[in-house]
Amino acid sequence: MMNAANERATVELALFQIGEMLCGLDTQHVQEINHNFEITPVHRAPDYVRGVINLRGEIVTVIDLHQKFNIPPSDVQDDTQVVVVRYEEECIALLVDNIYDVVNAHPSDISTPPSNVDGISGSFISCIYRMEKNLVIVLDLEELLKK
Amino acid sequence: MVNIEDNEIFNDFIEESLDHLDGIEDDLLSIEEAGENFNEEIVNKVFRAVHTIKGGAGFLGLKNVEALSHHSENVMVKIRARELFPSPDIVSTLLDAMDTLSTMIHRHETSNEIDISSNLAALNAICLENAPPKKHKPKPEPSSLDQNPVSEAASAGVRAAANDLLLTIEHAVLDDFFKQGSFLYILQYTLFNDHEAMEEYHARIMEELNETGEVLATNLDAGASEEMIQEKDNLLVVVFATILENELMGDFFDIDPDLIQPITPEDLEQAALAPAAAPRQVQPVEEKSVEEKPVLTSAVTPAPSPPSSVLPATTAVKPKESVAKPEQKPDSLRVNVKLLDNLMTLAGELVLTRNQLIQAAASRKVKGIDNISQRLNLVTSELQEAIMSTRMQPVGNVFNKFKRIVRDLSKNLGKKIDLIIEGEEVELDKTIIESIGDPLTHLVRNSVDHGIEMPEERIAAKKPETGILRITAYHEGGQVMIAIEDDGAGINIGRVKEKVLSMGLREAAALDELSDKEIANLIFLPGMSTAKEITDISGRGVGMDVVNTNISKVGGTVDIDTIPGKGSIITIKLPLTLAIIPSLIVAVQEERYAIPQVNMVELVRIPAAKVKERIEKINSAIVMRLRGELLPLIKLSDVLGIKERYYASDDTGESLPDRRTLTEDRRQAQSDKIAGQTDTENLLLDQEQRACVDRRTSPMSAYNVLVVSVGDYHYGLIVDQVLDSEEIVVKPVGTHLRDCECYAGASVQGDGKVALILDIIGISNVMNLRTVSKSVQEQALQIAESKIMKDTQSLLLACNAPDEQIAIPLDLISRIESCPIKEIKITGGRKNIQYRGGPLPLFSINEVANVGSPDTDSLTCYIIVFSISGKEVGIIVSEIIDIVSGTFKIDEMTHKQPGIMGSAIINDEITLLVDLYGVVDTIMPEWTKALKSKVKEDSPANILVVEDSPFFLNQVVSFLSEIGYTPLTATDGRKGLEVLNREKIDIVLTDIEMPNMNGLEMARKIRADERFRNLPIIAVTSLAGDAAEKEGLDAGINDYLVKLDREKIIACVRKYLG
Repeated sequence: MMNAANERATVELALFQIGEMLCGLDTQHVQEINHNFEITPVHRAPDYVRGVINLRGEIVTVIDLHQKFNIPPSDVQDDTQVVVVRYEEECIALLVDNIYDVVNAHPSDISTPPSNVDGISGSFISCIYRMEKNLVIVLDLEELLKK
Repeated sequence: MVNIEDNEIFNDFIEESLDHLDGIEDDLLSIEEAGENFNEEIVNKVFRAVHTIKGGAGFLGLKNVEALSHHSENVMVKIRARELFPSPDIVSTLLDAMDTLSTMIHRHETSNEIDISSNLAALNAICLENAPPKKHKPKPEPSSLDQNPVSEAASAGVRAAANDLLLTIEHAVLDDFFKQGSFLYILQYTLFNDHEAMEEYHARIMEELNETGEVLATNLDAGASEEMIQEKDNLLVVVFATILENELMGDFFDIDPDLIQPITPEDLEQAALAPAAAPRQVQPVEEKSVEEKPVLTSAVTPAPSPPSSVLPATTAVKPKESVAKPEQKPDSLRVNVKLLDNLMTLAGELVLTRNQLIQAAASRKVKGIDNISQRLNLVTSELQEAIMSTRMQPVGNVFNKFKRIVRDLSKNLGKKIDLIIEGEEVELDKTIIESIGDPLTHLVRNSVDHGIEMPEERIAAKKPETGILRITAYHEGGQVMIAIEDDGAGINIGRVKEKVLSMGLREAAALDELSDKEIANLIFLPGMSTAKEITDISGRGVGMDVVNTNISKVGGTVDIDTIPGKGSIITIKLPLTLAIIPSLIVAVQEERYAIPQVNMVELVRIPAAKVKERIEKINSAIVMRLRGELLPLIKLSDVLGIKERYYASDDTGESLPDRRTLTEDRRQAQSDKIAGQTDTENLLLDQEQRACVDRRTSPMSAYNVLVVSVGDYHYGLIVDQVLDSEEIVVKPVGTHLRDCECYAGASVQGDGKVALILDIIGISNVMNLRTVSKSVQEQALQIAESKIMKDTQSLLLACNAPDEQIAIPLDLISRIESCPIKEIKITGGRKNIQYRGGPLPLFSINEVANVGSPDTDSLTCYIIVFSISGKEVGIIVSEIIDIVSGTFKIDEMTHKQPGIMGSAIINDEITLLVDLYGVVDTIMPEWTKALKSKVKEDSPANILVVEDSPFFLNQVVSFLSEIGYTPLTATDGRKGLEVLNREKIDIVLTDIEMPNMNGLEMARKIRADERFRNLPIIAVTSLAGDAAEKEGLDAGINDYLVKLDREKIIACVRKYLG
């Protein structure tokens, strides 16, 4: 599915780290990258919801990808970094551990995902991008955020 | 056909036409209702509305719309001329035509393809059937007015006057009227009337004209005096703008068509060119203009005029009411211009205030900030209010369509129904208005369909033939209530039950516990609606859950009350608005939450010292006693699963870990212990509790209980802190959080943090509180019973002398007062105190019994007030220790003496049980003598005392013997019955809880025996709760008395023994 699109042009990926993993997300989904929010916890919410933040007056749900990927949450850090994405007309913040670069991924460096990577279900992975030294797990936003 | 490029014209036309149609429906119904005495004005109004639509449609090339409105117009004309009687059939035909018009206007692109032949045929049939074939419109009815033909000379004068008048109006203004599709006329009236004074007649003409158009100029202003009128030769000349065509003018006004003179744009030019106003020049042009008229019509009758400048004919009736017109398109809203101006002013104010604030902030002037913030507060609230009011619409917009629905439905069903609508002016937020339309329609249809019976059934049920359906809107407690009330058959509770059972929605046992009202409300359950046969149930069926869901969506609630045979009331509670709601901000573990004020009933703070008394545990549920009711409580932290405990330190404001344990938990542990220790009947307060006393009384352990309401029941939510009451802006939460039932949304606080808004109903669902609430009530009954079972006694622990603990049965005490020792006066050798304007006699226990005397150093003492022989007396003690309940082993030997009944070990200490009666009897025997002597004279009756505790048995026997009876005794119910069979007994005094057979069982057995049907049975027990008492009475017990209340027991015995 991705291949057809990738043949045409490079894909811009926003890179960030979750646990030990380097992940990427197509920038066309990304609204902004932001940090330093106070997350208001929402009790009784699904595990993967860390809470909500006030993003310029809009109440945005913060999704903890550690929970989604079944990896232990990172230590509590003062500076929360989030990747704010738009998904079905709604803003959703993804809690990440570190934010890196935005890269242009050439289609030739992109391969189809294996069934799972480091325990992450393959369904969350859209494809794998091979950088010089690292492998980037490109996430499938729809799979990640659908309920 | 005009080529339309501008969609706006279309939109305007559609919006306005639909407005008109809305009004027409209403008006037609009122015409029908009035029958023969219809109001001509209303007919005119309808006519004008249809006419406007016709004009617009013609201009826009909507041929079908034009044709249909034209035919409807014809019928209206005949009705107006009273050639046609507006019978229900005719009105129905017209209504159908209006419906078709509405459909065509909605789908204007394809309107020309819609088949309207049946409508046209029906309308034509009406015209042909009833009307004389005369095509020409009837002349206005012969009026009382004497319309003298105007002489040539006068006519010339008129023209001159008219031209002068025209010149007083700016050309541009007249041009505008032409552009808006209006026609201009010069009208002449002769102000001569037999019946009216001239000025009145003048005023009447003006009024009439203004209803249909606009008077631009006149030679005689309104309010002109008779002299002024005479000065003008009784001649009134008016320049008049209206959308009515020349042919129709005669129909609308009391005026000879010859005296109507149309003006064309050409006339205006001519008039402008020839200010001298030569009448001859005007005349030919006029004639020409008549021929030009059709051209003019199609060319210049453009989109209907915007409402703010010139009001179209129909709205002209009440021009001031243009504010909240019902709107058909969800994306537009009509706002009163005044309101808009007000908004502008407020926006200006806001800008000014901002400037001030910026200045003050820049110059770091703290002083001015206070003023500015106050001003900002004011402006913001006004602005908010004004903006909100633009969204407010009268609920009548929704209600009005019910007239038609009820009329049509009742006609189809052959029912007679009077619809009464009240409170149409009550306003609600636009979004709410939009969303309640369908649910309300549904409810109204149901009421008509299933609620109100057929006329013959009603007559059979001795009800008026015509049913009444009342729809009322009113304000209550900051909410809007809408009640739909019918006097129909009501809901058949039995069949709802059957249905619920057959659907498996509830267990049969659970249903039995529900009240009728609760069962009626079950029709809102989902599933109840899916089956079609539910409509057979007299109740409302299909889609009631949808009604409920839709109303809940906008934050409302629905409730049904029904009386079989009498009717039903469905009450809908709605919030005024959704966007901004007043709410209470609370905190749990440092997290803030908002609770909408509409859900709040009250705030209760239970001080730490009272927690033990007020909060109880029934099974796993915590409950609170609130004015005699048991209220289920939940901790918000439990609901949300917040674990760590912190509390804000009073001194530092820091968060500290809270080490308090929950008092009611401890209490539970304690009462478990009591239960386990009943064998030894020895109560030990655990050491831990004593050690905790200090912490228990600290304000930290106080409970803040928010009593909230969920429809018909309440519950309490325990929070750590109640912070503030705020108006919050409701924001939706993301899709991932929609499934958490606990939240209704979120809001951003002043400091930018997010506070979640709690969904009180959701929480109650999540915690299953409705069932808890029920089971709590049931268990309260059981507990009351079980308390009797345990035969517990509540005692007030006090001490008179240090280290000497005394106990007084709590039930005998009226109240406890504290008073300074120096206020106790000794008069005539007796202690007393001034109390409520009279002396209160005081006794000390050491006066009668050999006990220690009070500590003389203390400054205050406590007075335990009780009553004896109708007198209030007080016993002085130096300290109050506690109130204990439990079963105590009473030793009546060791310490027995006057004023002391016996002793028990309570809280590890030997405690003396005070005999209040004994104290008074010893000191003032004459106070109790009257009571004794009277009874002694009676013939001794046989009293049976059944009591298992030897102490209480002896007590009762002793005071009964004191007054001359020799009671028989039994130690349990079974033995009591044996005695009863053996001896002749006149009255039974019995304890409730006894081994082998308890008092209730015995009472039932006694009552079952024919011989003892009328034997008085008096229960003498330690705890008389309402529930227990009721059960006792059910078992056949005549009276319920408290153990050791000697006076009452004697009085009661006397009462039954005659």
